[in-house]
Amino acid sequence: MTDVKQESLLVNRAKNDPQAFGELYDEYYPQIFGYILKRTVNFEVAQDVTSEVFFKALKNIGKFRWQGVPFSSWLYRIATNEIANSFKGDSRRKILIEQLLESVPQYSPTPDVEIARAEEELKKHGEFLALNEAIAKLPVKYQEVITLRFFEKKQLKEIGEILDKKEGTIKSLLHRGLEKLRILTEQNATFCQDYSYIK
Amino acid sequence: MKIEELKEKLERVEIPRIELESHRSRLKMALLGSDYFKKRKGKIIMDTVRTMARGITNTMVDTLVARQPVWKVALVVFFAMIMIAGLVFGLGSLNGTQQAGLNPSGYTIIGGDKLTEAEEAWAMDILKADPRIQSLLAGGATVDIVLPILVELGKVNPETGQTETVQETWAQAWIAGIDGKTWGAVVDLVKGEVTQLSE
Repeated sequence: MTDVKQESLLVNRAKNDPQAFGELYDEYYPQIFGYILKRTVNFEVAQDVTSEVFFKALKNIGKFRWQGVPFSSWLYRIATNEIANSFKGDSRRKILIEQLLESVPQYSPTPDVEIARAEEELKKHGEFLALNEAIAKLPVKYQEVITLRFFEKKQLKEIGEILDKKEGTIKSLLHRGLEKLRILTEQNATFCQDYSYIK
Repeated sequence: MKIEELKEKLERVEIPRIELESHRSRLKMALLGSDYFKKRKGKIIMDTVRTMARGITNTMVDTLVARQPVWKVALVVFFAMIMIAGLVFGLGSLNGTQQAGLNPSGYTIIGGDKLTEAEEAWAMDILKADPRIQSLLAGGATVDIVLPILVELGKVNPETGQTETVQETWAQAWIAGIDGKTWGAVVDLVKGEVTQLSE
């Protein structure tokens, strides 16, 4: 969504209007799910974390104020925090999300066949998976900046908004992260060809 | 590998774009059907009532503070007492279908059922035609909710010349500004005008 004023109006309406929130959801679900999947490389976790992100967004949208930070950055910020929580293994969160989704009358888990198809699709991106595997070995702060910069194609300013850090800090984190990644990839010159870790 | 080569590799790597359609639709249903919007609707109604009550109080105070003849002050005090009684005994349990109370324009809110689509559209047209609301909308505010109110008021019958008590369906709206301010508006659907607007 490029029109800032239009988005601001939509976000404002979404505070009370389910239809407007649905429009925002349709707009940003693919980006947020994609970002989480790239960070976690696990469909089960990606579903749980995406659900958590949107429930948190819904719960807190009333507090969202337009202060120069786009709504998308706000969502990415929630997603980044939730990914970090998932890495810490918060099982309480997973139970809560399952309960919420089960409250939907037409509830049915994502069909196995759909997951299997998605996994097959993901395995086709060997180079991405190899790079991602190396990135996953870095400390989380470097994972965040590298993924946002290269896989989400975000500018430094936007990454700063998402991570609530100054642009200069992002630049330096990115530089140090890339240097560490370079060393890692050199140590593991033949990138891992076994992607059986995808669950 | 040099760091520039690594950057280039990260820039050009093909990124997977995968979605789980069943998760997307299931999560959307769960979000839009969640308690958030139900609770929010109730809160909006109560906020509207509070906003209107504050507007009434301000009007009374302004009138009393201004230099007015004694009979005018007495009239305002009389109406104020009736209004407060109405608010205390009626509006405390206000919701979308049951409303009661008095307002400063001499009409009594005795209830409210449901606006037809045509009535709601008419209310929106009246709101949008009001210069005060136009200036709010120009500043990014949105009309978020339009609710019915059944009012009882005295009107002169042109045939008999007698004042008769009539019931009319009006509307009340909640207008949300982008800076978090809210306004309550009462719309006379018969005269086609906004009878009250208070912050």
